[in-house]
Amino acid sequence: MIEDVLRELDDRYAVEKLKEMIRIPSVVGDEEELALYLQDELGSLGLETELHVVQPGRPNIYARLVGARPGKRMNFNGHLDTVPVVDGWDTDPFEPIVDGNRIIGLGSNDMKGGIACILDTIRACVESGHEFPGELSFSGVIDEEAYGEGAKAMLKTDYGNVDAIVLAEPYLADEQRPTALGITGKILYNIHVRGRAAHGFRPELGVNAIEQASVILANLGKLSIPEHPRFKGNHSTLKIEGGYERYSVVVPAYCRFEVNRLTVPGETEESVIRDMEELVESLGLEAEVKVEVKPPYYASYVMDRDEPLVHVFEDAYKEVMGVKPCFEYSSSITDANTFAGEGGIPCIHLGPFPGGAHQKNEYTLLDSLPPVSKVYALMADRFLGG
Amino acid sequence: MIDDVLRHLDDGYTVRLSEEMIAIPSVTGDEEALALFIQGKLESYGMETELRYVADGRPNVYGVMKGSVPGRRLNYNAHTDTVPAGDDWDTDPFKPVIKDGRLYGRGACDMKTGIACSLNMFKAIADSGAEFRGELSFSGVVDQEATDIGAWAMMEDPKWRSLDGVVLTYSYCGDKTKPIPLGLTGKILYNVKVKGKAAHGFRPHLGINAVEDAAKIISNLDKLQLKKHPNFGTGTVCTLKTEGGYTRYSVVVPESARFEVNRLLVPGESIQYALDDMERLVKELNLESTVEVGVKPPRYEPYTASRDEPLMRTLDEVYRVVMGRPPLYEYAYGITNANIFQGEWGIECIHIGPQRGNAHGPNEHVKLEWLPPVSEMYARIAISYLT
Repeated sequence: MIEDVLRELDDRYAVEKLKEMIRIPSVVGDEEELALYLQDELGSLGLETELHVVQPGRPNIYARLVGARPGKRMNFNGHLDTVPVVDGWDTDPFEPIVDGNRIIGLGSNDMKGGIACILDTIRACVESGHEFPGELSFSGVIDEEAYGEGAKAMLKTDYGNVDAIVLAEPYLADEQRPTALGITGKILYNIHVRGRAAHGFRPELGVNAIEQASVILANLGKLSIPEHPRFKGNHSTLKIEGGYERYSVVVPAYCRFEVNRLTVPGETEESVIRDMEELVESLGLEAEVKVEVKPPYYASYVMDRDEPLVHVFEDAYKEVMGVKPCFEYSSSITDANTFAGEGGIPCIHLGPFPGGAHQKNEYTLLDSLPPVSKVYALMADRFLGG
Repeated sequence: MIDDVLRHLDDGYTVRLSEEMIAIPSVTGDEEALALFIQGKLESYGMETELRYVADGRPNVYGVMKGSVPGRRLNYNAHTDTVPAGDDWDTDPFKPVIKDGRLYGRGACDMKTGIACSLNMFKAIADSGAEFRGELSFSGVVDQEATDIGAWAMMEDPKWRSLDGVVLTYSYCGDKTKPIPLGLTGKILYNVKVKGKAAHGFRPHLGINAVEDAAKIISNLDKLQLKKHPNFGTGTVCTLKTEGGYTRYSVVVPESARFEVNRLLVPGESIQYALDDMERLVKELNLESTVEVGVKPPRYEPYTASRDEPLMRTLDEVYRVVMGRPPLYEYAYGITNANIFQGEWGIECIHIGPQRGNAHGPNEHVKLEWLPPVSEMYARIAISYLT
C-alpha cells in the first residue's frame, strides 16, 4: 500500500544522506567516490547495482528494484557532479552546516538534496515491502555541469529504454522556480575562417581572416531564427581568436570563433549548420569558411501537455503541496535535453529548494525535502500502477 | 684618394664575412653573438668600439673612426637581428650555401651582406689610411624585426642623436625591386579594448557582447579616413590579432575583447590623427560597449626626404658612377630605422644595399654580383660625404 511507503519516509535519513554526500567532493571530473558511495548505499537496500565507467575514473551508477510483475519502467535521476568551488564561501563547501532551516554546502541543492530524496523514496519502498509492477530504478550520472557525457552514455544502455525519468534537479515547481514542459536545445558553432597571409603593410595582397570573421559576426543578426509558439531561439558569440602568437606584421591567415545558439523544437544539428552556411554564403566572402559544431550539443524538446507522466506529476504534486505545479518552457539546459530531446523519454524535474546554485554558500531548505520525497513516492506508485 | 680606398676593397672578404655571419644565428632576441663578432672586426680596423646592452643579452654594437679634422658625422646603420628561420627551406638556414652565384641563408639579404659590405668599406678606409673630415661610424642595432628597441635606445644617446647622416644598409638597391625611398610611411599599432557586460549565454539580451561589438568595429574599418598624399597615395589598414571570450569553456556573454590593427600612415597623418580617426569611427557606430582606443609599440612617424639634401645627392651621384644608370626612387610603404632617425629625430637618412631575394621567406638569398658595387658605393659615399 502506498500509505505504507509514505509512512516509511524518514526525513532524518534523507538529511543524514545529504550530509554524507556533501562531505564527498564530486566536482565535475571527480565523480567516482560519490558513485561508489551510492552503489554501496543502494546495494545495502537490496537493489541490483551497476557501475558504468563512462570515462576513466568517471562512472555512472545505476540501480534497480524489479517489481513483482512486468510493467512500465520509471527512473529517478541525479547528476553526481557539482560545479567547482567558486570564490567567497564563508564555510567549508564540503562540510554541511545546518543553520536553522538551512543546510549549507556545495551540491546541497544541485543536486545532492534531490538525490537524498530519491534514496529516501527507494528505501521507503523497500522497507514497506510495497509491491508494484515494472521497474523502479536510479541513475547517477557524471558530467552534467560540463558536457552531459554521463546522460548521453546512459541513453545507450538498457536504462535508455525506460518509460519516464524524474530528474531531481532543484525545481520546486512553484512560481519562483517553475518546472519545464520543454527546454530549448543548444548547439555550439565552431567556425574556422581561412584567408591568405601577406605582409601586413600590403593587406590587399592577402585575405584577412580576422576581418572576414568579423563580417560574419557583424551579420549574425541575419541568421534565420525560426518562430516557435513556446520558445525563442537566440545566439551569442562566446569566443574568438586569430592572428599572431609572436608579434609580426602579417595579414592573419586564420581565425576561429564560437557561437552558442539556442535551438527550438523543429531545429536539428543539420538545419542550424545549414542556416550558418547560408548566412556565410550570402556574404560573398573571399576567405574559406568552415562551419563545424563542437560539443556539447543538446537537442530541444517539448512534451505533450497530456503526457501521462505530466498528469501523474500534476496530481501527486497537488496532493502533497495543496497547489498545482507551475510549468514553463525553459531555456535552461539539463540532462533532460538528452533523455527527452534525444531519447524521446518523458521527463519531469522536481527537487528541493534552489538556494544559490552555482554560487558561494549554496544551500537548501530542510523543510523542502520531505514533500519532494512524498511526491516522488506517489509518482512512482501511480506511474507504475501499484 | 678614393682610388686608393677602392683598391683596398676585397670582395672575397665580403663573401667570407657574409658566410661567417649567416653561420651565427641572430634571430630577434639573440643578437649578442653577432654583435660580438662585429665588434671584433671593427676593433681589428682600429676603430673605437662599444657594446651597449639594450636588454638582457641584447647589445647594440658601435664603432667609431675619427677623421683628421672636424666635420660631418656619418653613420652606417644595420640591424643585427633576423626574422626566425621558418619552414620550407631547401638548405639549413643557418649554414651558408653558395650556388649558381647566390648565397643562401637566413639574413643573406636582410641584412648580413649589407653589414659585410660596410665592414669591407671600413677595412679598406683603415688599410688605405685615407684621410677624411669628421667622423665615420658603424651602428648595429637589435630588434628591428620586432619593436626596434635597439634604434630607440641608440637615439637616447646625444652622441648619436647629433649625427649628420645615416646610411642604412637595407636591401633598397635602387632598381624596380626596391627603389630608393624618398620617404617612408609611418605606422601605428592600434590596441582596441572593448568592454561589454557579462550575462548567461542563453540570455544574450541581458548582456553586452564585447566580441560581437569588436567585430562591428573591425568590419567597419574601411570607414577610417585615410588621407591621400600626393606621392604616397593612401596608407593601409590591417587587423593583426583578436582575442575575446572564455578561457575555460563556459556559456557566458563575453564582457571583454581586444584587437590590434596595423595602420600605415602617410605624411600628413600623425599618430594623434590616427588615434582621433579611430575614436571617431567607434563613436559613429554607437556601440553599447565601452571602447578604449590605445596604441602599442611599435609606432613610427612617417617622413619624406628631399632629393636636394646632401646625403641623398651624394647617393644619386655615386649610384650613377658605380651602376652606370640613375637609381629609381619611390615613396615607400615600409618601416625601417629611418622612421626613428629621420622621422623622429630629423637626421638625414638614405637606404642602399644589395638586392634582396626572399627576405623573411624560405631560401632567403642574395646574388653575389651585388656585393662589389654596394661596397664600392659605400666607400664612395663615405669619402665624398666626408671630404
